Amino acid sequence: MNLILSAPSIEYAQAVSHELWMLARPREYSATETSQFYCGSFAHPDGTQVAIGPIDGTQRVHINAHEITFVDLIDAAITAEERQGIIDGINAAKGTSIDIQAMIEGTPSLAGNLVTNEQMSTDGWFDDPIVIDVDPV
Amino acid sequence: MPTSKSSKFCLGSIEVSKIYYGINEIYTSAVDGILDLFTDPYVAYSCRDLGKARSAFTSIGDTGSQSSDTWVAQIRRSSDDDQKSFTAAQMAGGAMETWVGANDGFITRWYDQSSNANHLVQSAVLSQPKIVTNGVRNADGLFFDGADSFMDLTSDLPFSDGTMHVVSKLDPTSQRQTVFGGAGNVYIPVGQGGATRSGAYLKSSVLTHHLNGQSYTILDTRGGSFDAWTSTSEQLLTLTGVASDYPVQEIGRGAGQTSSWDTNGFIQEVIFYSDDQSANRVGIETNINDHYSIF
Repeated sequence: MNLILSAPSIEYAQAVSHELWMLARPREYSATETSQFYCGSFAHPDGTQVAIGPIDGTQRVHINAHEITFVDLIDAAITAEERQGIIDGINAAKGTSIDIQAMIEGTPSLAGNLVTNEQMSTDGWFDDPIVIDVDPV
Repeated sequence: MPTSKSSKFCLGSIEVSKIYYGINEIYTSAVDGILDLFTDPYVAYSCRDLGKARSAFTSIGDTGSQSSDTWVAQIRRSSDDDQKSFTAAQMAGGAMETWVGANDGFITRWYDQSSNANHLVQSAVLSQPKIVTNGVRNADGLFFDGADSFMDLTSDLPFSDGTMHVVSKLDPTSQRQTVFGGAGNVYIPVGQGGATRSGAYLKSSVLTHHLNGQSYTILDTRGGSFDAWTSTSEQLLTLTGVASDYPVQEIGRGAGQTSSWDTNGFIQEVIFYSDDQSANRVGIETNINDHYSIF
């Protein structure tokens, strides 16, 4: 699954993906590391939407994860009640792991923006290269 | 313990180019690598040493402090997400598997062994190709899952008459794969086997193909299979006259920033020259085959 974000900015998508990964690997531990993002970020060719994905599976939540930094980033897209629910969920998962997709599905303001690759393909997110024949060499 | 195989040291079937006792290098292979025998490639990726005289350099992106050695790859282990760079000798000698433990290991950085430091990088954890599965190193190299895994070049590959050598084992039942992609629908496809698609190099072209040292003519008939790139066994594909309208930016995924044309299978080694290496083709292929025993 992929998540279409509220703000059509690739920098915003990268920031959300980064903060998702920081839940597992807070910056005080990961500042020097190659891995900085949970998943990929991509833009619709028409420039009107951005998404992150894939967001399947679970990821570790560090005992020192900064959940407030993450929820502040998505605050404009969720209600106050949803915000608290996400904070509570992340806090409960510290030291263990969390299912990111389930967390989004449990947040009504975000759940409707979850889309499959097939849906995105239908909606024109992916340029499907034209296949042409070549002559034998 | 390493075992002698003629003039080589081997761990199992894997030739070791260097052996360390603690931090001291006590053995260096007498076997010349591609970097020793031929001109410096534009990029060169492998988990073996491609040259016995490579210079040490500082790791990039390891957890904690960085250190200097002739690194070939950086791994993220799934147990705690720590990241660490390894030399070819460490990978062949089992140090990487020991460090990963009974879990999975993913490639975060595939160091360029050419002098250009054009490393392949994947900073998104869910897109990193796998190198260790349940504590065991993939014998066929980096595994690209056909869905999400790919790596970005640090710098684009602009080429007009390039030469490419790829050791791979890519799933022939998976349709519409690409190995090299970039902006502007640049892609060098693996080949779209199956009933509905035929293959092509769109906005890119290739002059000649050699498969396992033999000339390979593309029989590209619609409804047929363009399967020079895919095989149930490891193979070496050499392309000459490689040209593209746009720079190549990625390995393991097709055109643009999103695509369903993903590589599905293993990539062991990629060596790319920005010029025509037809005169050295046989020598390069022989060197590669001496290591992998493909044909």
